[in-house]
Amino acid sequence: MYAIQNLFKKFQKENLIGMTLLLILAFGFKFGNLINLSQIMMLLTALIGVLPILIRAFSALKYKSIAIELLISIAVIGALLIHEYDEAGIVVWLFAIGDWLQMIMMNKTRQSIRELMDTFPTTALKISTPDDRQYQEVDIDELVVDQYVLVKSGSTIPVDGVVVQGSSYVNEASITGESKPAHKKVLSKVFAGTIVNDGTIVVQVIKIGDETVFGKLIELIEDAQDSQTKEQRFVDKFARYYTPVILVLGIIVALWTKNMETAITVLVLGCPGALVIGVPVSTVMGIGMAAKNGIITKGAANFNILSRKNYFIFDKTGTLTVGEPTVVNIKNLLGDREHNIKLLASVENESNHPLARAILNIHNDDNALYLAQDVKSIAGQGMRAQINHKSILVGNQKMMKTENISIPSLVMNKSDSQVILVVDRQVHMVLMINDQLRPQIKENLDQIKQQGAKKLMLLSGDNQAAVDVVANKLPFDTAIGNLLPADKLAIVKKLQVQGESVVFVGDGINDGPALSQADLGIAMGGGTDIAIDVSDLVLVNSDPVQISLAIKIAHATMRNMKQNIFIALATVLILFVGLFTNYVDMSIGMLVHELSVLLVVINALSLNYLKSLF
Amino acid sequence: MANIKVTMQLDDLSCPSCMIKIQKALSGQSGLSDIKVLFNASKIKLNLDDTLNDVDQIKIILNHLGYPVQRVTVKE
Repeated sequence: MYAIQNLFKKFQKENLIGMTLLLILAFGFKFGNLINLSQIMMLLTALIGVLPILIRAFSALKYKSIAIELLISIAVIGALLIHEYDEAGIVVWLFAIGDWLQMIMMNKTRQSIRELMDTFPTTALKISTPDDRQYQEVDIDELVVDQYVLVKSGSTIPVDGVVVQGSSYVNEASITGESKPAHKKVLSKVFAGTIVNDGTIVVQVIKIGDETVFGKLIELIEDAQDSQTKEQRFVDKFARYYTPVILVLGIIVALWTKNMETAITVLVLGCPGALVIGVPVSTVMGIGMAAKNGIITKGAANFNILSRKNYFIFDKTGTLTVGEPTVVNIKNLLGDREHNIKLLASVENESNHPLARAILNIHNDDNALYLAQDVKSIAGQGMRAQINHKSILVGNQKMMKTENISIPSLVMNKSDSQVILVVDRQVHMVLMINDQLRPQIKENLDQIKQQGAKKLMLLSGDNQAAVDVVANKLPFDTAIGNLLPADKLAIVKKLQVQGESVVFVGDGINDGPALSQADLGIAMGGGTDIAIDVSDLVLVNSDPVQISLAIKIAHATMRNMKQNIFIALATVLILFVGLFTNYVDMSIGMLVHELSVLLVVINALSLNYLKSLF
Repeated sequence: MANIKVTMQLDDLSCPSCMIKIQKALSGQSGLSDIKVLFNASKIKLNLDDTLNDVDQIKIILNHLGYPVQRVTVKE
C-alpha cells in the first residue's frame, strides 16, 4: 500500500492532468447530451482521485489520527453510493488541485530562507596536510574536526575554523555585517558562509554544519518560523478538535435528517485548511522578510512584542556608537605632520590598546614604520620608546603630569580621549580620539519614536559627562551613565514591575543580563555566539536602521496574521450558514474551502511587497 | 547511551494537516519526547531514547504516512 502511496505522490502532477482531462470530457459529454458517458467519466475522475486520498486517510488512521483525507474519502464514497458522480468527481478534483496549488505557494513562501541557505556551500576541498594541493571534493557532512580544507579565492568558506596557511581578505558581511573585508592570516579565525576575496587559504576545521555560527543563524530562523504566537496556539487548539467534531457532526446529521447529501457536505466543510495554514504562512513570510534584511528573530512572538508600545533602552558604546575609536582631530604643534604620525604609529604598532588601532588607521600603510627600541608600556598612561636615539613618549594627560611636561590647553570635547606625542620632552602633536556615533542614528531614533515607542532611554557604563555629550544630540527621554551591567538589569526589572514592556538594545557581550531580562533583547551585530544566545533579535548589520525596519515588519506581520485568522474563521462561518440555508453543496463547499486556503497564502505573500514602504 | 537528538529532513510539507498528522503519529510512539514538526523547514526534531526506539523505526512510520525521510542528523 505504501508503494502505491509513494507512486501517487510521485505522479501527482500526471494524476491531476488525467483527472482534469476526464473532467473536461465529462462536461463535454454532458453538453452533448451523452449523460451516461458523462457519468462514466465523472466516476473515473472520482475513482482515480479518491484512491490516493483514501490511502493517505488509512495510513493516518493507523496512527490514530483523523485526517482531513478521511472526511473527504467518506464524503466521496458516500456521494458515489448515492450516485452523485458529478459531486464526487468535482470534489476530488478540487481537492487535488488545491493540494497542488498549495505546494507551489508554500514553495514561494519558503523562498527567502532558501536563498539564504543556498549561499552555504555543500562541499569542501579536503586536503590531507596543509601543504597538500591534491584536494578531494567531499560533502561537508563527511568532514571531521581538525581536518584541513583548501579555500580558493572567490569561494565561500565551508566551515568554521582557523587559518593554518596563506592569507587573504575575507568578506564577512553574512556574519558580522561588516562590509570592509577582514584580513585573515595564519591563526585567524574564519567562519563558514564568509567569502574569500583573494588568495588561497588552508583552514583547519573547528566546527561543521549546524554547529557553525552561520548554521546556528539558519537554525534559529527555521525554528523561529515554526515558533508559536498566542494567536497560533489558539488556532491550533481550534483545529485539533475541529476535524473530529465535524466527523461526529456528519454522523449526527446523517442519522437525524436521514439526508445523506447534507451529511456528506458537512464532512467536506470539515477541512480547516485556511485555519491551520493562515497564521504559519504569515509568520514565515514575516520572519523570512526580516532575515533577508539581516534581522534574525528567534520567534514569531517577538513580532508581537515589537508591535507594542515599548520602552526602548539603548546601550552607548558599540550600540549608538560604532564601538571603534577613531581619530577625530589632529593638532600638529611642532615638526612635520606626516613624520609625527609615523612616529606615533611606530610606537603604537607595539601595542594592542584600542586607541592604538585608531592611530594606526590614520597612518599611511605604504609608509614603512621606524624601528622602535626599548618600548615600554605604562598601564593607564601610555608608552615610551627610543626611535633614532630620540626619546619618544606617547600617552595621556596623566602621563604628561607624571613626566612634568606641560601641555598647551586645547579646545576639546569632554568625551574625547587625548593622545599626546612628545619627542625629547617637547610636545609635537595632540590627537583627539572618540568613538563616533553611528551614521543616521538621530533619524533612526526619531523614527522609532514615531513608530510608537513609549520612551527612549540611554543606559551606559561610561561616565555621565560622556553620556550627556551623546544624549544632548539625540532624542532620549533619559540618559544615565556610570552603570554596571547589574544596574542596567535592575532598571529593566523595575520598569517591568511597573508593567512596562521593555526592549533592550545592546552589543550582546557586556549587556547580557539586561538583554535576557528585557521583554525583547536586540543584539547589535551577529557573529558571536553570546549575542545569539542572549538576545531575541539579532541585527546582523549592526545598523540601528534595522530596528525601525523590524518594527515595521512586526506591525505588518501581526496585521497580516490577524487578517488570516479572520478569513479562516469567516470562511467556516459562511460555509455553515450556507449549508443550513441550502446554498452550499458538496462541491461549492470544497471550492470555497480551497479558495480560502489560497486567499490566506496570497495575503501572506503580499507581505513581500511591503518593501515599497521602506 | 540514552537520549539522542534527532533531526529529520522530509520532502517539502505542503498540506496544512501534515503537521498534525505527523505529530499525532509520533507522539503515540514510545521513547520519543519533545517532538517538533517544523512545517516551514519541513523538518522534524525530537529527542529519542534509543533504548526504547530507534531512528529506522521512525523512518518507517514516516514513510508509511507518506513522508519519506531525506536526511537524518543525530546529535548526542
